[in-house]
Amino acid sequence: MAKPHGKELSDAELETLFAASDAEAPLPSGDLIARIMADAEDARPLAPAKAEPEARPLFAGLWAALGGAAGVTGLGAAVATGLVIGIFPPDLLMSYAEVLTGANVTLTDYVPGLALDLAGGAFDG
Amino acid sequence: MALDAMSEVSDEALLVLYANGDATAARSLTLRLAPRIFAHAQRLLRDRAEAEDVTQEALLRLWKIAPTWRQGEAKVTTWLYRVTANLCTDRLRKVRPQGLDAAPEVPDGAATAAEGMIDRARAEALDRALAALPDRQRQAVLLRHIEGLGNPEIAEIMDISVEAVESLTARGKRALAADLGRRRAELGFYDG
Repeated sequence: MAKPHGKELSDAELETLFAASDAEAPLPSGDLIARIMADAEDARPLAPAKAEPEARPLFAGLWAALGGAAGVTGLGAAVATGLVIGIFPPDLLMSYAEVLTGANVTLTDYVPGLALDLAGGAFDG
Repeated sequence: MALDAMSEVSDEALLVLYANGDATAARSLTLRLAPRIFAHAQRLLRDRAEAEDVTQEALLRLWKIAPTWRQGEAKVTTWLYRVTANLCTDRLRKVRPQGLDAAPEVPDGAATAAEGMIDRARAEALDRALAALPDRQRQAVLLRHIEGLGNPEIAEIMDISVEAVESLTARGKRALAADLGRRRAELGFYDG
C-alpha cells in the first residue's frame, strides 16, 4: 500500500535524494578550468634558484687545497729543506755541523735510531 | 612531478609544492578542488555564471595565500569552503538586500519523474526544496549531506559551534522532509 501523500520523507528517503543530487552535481566548464589554471600560472611563485657552485680561479682553488698561507709556508720550508739535503752531500753537512757545534759529530748523534738499527749490521765490525 | 604521481598527495602538500613553484601541483589541485567548489557554489547561488565567478575567485585567493600557508593549521578544503561561503553570502546579499535568510521564490510545479530520469527528477526536486530553506540551513545541510563533511569541520567553515551546526542541519532536514513529502509519489517513494 502506498504511503499517503503529504507524509514526511523518512531519513532513508532523504538520503536517497541526497545521493541523487550528488550524482547529478553540476560540473564546471572547461573554460572555467582553463581560467583557474591561468590564474594559478600567473600567481605561481618562482621556484627558489638552485645554488650554483661558485666559479673560482685555478690558483685560488690550489691555494685553498694547500691549506692557505699556513699550509703554503710549511710546504715551502719542507721543499727548501729537501733541496738542501739533496744538493749537499752528507760529509759536507757533517762538516757544517762540526763548525756549528765545535765537536766531532756523526750522523748517529742526530739520528739515534740509526745506531740501534746498525747495532748488529754490516757497519758494526 | 607527474600528475598521476600526485593522486596520493594531500591538498596541503600540493599547495606547498605550488608555493615552491611547481606548476603541476596547481593543475592537480584545480582538477581536484574546482568541481567540488563549483558544485557547492552552484547549489548555494543557483546561478551558473555566478558560481563560476565565485569558484575562480576562491581559487585565486588560494593561489595568492599559498606562499604563506601554514601546514597543520587548517585543511585546504575547509579554508576553501569558508571562502566560498563568504563569497556566496556577499553575492546573495547584493541580490537579496532584504536579508540573507529570506526565502527565494521557488518555481511552482513539480519535476516529472519520467522513466529513466528518476535521479534527475529527484535531484531537481531536492534542489528546489533546498532553495526554499533559509541560507544558513541550506549551507549546513549541503555541507553535511551532499559534501559529506563532519560537524566540527562545518562549524569551522560557518564559524559557529558544533551544536549550532547540529541544530541547523536537523531543522533543515525536517523542513526538506516535510516539503518533499508532499511530492513523494512523483519522486517514486512508495511502500512495498
